[in-house]
Amino acid sequence: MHSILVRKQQLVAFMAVAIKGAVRDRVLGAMVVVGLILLLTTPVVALFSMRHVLALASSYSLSIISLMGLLLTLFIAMGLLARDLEQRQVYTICSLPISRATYLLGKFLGFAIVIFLAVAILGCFSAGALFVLERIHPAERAFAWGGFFIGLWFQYWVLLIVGAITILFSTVATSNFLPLALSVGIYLGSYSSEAVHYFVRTAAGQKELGAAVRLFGNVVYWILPNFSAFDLKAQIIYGVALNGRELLLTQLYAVGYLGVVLVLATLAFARREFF
Amino acid sequence: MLVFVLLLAGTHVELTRVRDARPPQARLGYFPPASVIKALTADQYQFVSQVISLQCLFYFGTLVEIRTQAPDWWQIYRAVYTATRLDPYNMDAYYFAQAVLTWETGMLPQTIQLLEYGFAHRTWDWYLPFYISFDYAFFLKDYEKAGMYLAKAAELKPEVEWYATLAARYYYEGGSTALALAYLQEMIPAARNEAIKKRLVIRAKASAQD
Repeated sequence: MHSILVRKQQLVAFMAVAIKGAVRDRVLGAMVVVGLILLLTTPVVALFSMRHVLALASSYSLSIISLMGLLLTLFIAMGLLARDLEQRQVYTICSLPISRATYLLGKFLGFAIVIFLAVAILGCFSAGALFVLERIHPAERAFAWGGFFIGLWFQYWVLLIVGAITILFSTVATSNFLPLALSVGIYLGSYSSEAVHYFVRTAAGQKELGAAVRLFGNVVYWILPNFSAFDLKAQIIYGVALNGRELLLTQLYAVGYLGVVLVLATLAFARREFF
Repeated sequence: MLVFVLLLAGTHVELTRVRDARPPQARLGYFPPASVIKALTADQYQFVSQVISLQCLFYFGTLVEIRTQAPDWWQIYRAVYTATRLDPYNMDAYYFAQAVLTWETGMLPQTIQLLEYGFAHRTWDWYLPFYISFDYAFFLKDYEKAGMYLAKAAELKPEVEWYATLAARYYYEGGSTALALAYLQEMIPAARNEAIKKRLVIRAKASAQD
């Protein structure tokens, strides 16, 4: 019981360190600035729409949130371990009676909280701009506010998974560039893997593609996260109905995928030689 | 520092002039197939689709201003096609196709295909069947199909009573100038872009004189 309490305290301490690091880097302040820019530019961009002002505004807002979230995720997740390795703090930590898993998970929790706050800040500014635009240019169909916040939630989970993947690569890589390049590659591939998997199973895919390519398409689909399922932009922008069962499955899939990546990261980190 | 500022200002002004003098065809640019764009832009493809629609609008707007060069309609069509394949719900792309590609481009079948593709996705949107209905009736004189689509528009927008009346008329009557005027009167107030609005007003005036 005592050891669990100690481990919890250690976890919270590492989490706090990760949050303090992000605050020191003025990450949240930067997100407020980006949010303000978003708030001011959304109505301007939306005015270019020929017919559907709110659709263009929401598409623009969600794209900015996604892009900023990705940049922030890569920036923070890359620095989580790299900074401690560079400053040799990890050597001190490893010499203490603290499990490496606690250290890594504590850091990840701190990262998760910072990303949540960043998405929330951007989401609030974006919602403000969309709320005003909806009043000025009412659409035929009411804007799907519920879908908007659900979409942001799943966007957050994409960022958590990308962050966990970056941390996994950081635990084994000796350079900073490799985790970045691999994470970006996986991020891009994860939005296409579902379409590729679908195509290889169609009659055209069976006919046009060789067995090795089909196998590759299948393997990639099962290994990479299926981010297409997390992408609810069409539903948000155009008010298309959300499928509750699909959302539940996606959420459970996200928890499972994140869990697997974090377990692999802790295993890899536990085996890493520092001395 | 002063040297760099002068260099920057001098080249920027000249660069703007040179870029403005490019043939309009070079302005729209090339868009790779939607599948390639989708693979490279991750979850940004809806916004990319919107950007392509806007590029088409700017390209068309520039040509309306210049008036000396004919637009490359195929280039516009390919861009709009890509935009709709990236985001089948992108109403701006369909609106632009209907407003610009139908009248004098000779690409009516392609435009109708685009709109039908859009209606297959935007099943709640009465504008698309309304546009398709008009195209079938006015250009192709296929009143059976026109009536079918207008009946769908009337179903989605029961407030507009004349849709239902006109849909009924389509089944046994030929098209008329009144039809074009009714259609344009629906399109013009909704047009947010001046270049498109101008084009539609010219069409409305021509139809009124027929």
